[in-house]
Amino acid sequence: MTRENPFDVLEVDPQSSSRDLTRRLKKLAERATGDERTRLQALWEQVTLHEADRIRWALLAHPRPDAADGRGIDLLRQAIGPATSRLNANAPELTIDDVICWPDESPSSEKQPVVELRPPFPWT
Amino acid sequence: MQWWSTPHQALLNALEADAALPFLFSLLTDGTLKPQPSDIARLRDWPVALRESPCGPAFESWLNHASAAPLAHRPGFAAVWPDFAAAGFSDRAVHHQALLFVRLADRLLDARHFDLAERLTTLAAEAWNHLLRSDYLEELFRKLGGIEAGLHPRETLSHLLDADFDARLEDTRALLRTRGHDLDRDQLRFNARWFAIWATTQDDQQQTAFVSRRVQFETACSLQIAQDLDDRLTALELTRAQANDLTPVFSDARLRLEALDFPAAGVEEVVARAIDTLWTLRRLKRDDEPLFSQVVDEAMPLVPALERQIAAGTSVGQNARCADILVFRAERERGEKRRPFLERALNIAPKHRNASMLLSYLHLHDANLALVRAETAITVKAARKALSEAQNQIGRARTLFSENIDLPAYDERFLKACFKHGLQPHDFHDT
Repeated sequence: MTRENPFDVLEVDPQSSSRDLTRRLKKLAERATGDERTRLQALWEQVTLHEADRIRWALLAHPRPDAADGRGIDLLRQAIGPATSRLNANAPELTIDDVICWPDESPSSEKQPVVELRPPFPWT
Repeated sequence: MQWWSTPHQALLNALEADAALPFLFSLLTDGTLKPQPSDIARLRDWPVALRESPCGPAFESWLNHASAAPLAHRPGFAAVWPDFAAAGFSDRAVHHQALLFVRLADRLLDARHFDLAERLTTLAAEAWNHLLRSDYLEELFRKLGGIEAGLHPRETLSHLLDADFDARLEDTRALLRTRGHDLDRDQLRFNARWFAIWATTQDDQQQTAFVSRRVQFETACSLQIAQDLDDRLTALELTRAQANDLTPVFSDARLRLEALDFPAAGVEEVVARAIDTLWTLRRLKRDDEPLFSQVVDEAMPLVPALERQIAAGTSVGQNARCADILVFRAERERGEKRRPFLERALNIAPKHRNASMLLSYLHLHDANLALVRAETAITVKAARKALSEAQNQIGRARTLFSENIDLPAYDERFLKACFKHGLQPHDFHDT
């Protein structure tokens, strides 16, 4: 009873019909390559070749009503990426010169460029 | 245009589930397990289902407290989950739980947290029991087309559990093949509890199948233990075997039976072989050596289980063997210390010859003390009291074992003591 369930792996509604399953798997297979496509093929066979197997796997799959489809949040997280950690090992070391504002003794009157501290706003 | 749609709700539910699941896992496993990414993907509906359950308000209240409180101040499983269960779960929540708790039990077992694995297995069995009693599975099967396919929820569940039953039995067989300190008693104990849980928590229709599985498990284990015992005893030569050869044979058998919670057939088989070995050692006049008493010590822990089986009627024809072990144990003691073992033996086997004989001699010992008091009594009243006691003890000794060769001597002493004080033997019937 603890084997990997195709419905859970594919994140599809276990109450889907064979036709809906095939349509969903086809869509996934279009974006997959190589080993992943073979794996999808094997999963498809598990739940479509024998009706009794499909029903048994569906019984053992977690309910997945539409209001619990969390794929959107996963896609968003992949797009945004993780927040930067404050424990970034590549952060520059500060020295006394970074803290104290020395008077500008340069003969040039050219101002130093302003350091952009935050990434630019992506949407304008 | 509706601005709050199903996808919006799905995203919100997913965010709330991602926040709630770690606390739920921590509650159920006493902080041992955290949700894996595969768990989160599968369980996003579970917190939603819990909120929609009758226990929803209690669940929300607990979650708010748990998320704000440090770990040490959060109430534990025993303080929280029974309240949720008493309030009630929705069928969809129970479906999630029935699947999840089996997975969690497996993970806890891999980490050797046996008590927690047993807790989760019990919860899983209760969850499946709930689903079988409700209309939920029937309705689900109808939606899946299972009825048209000629399937039935109960049979499907039983079929699915068969694979787990077989795997658990094979695992137990492998454990029983180990010996001595290599025996994993904790795992063995859990396997026995696993079968007991599934056999006792299913609904009436399923129980027959699961009980038969448990009987099959216990029978297979008993046979394997008995076979191993036979093989090892056959390899030993009792005329020359020493304590360190013989004792581990019975010790291993006892430890396995203890871990398996004393399956009836196994107890009978091991006790039978212990009795045979002990009588053989007695015939070889080796019953005064340490190995004899060590075999008795290994057999004694099985006696309470055998007594229960005899009282329950599940072990038939085992009374004499059970009494034999107790008599062997009694023989090691002296005087009054023998009495509890002998009385227990006669309670199980009222006509047990050796127990009757030894207890008869104990009663004569008590009669002797009473006769000494009577013979040295100063007053008739004191003598009457002592003689009454002596008559009582002699009577019991005679009832238990009329062939006791010391009885005539005690009868004569009793008569002499009566004559000395001018009393008649029939004077004590009403005392």
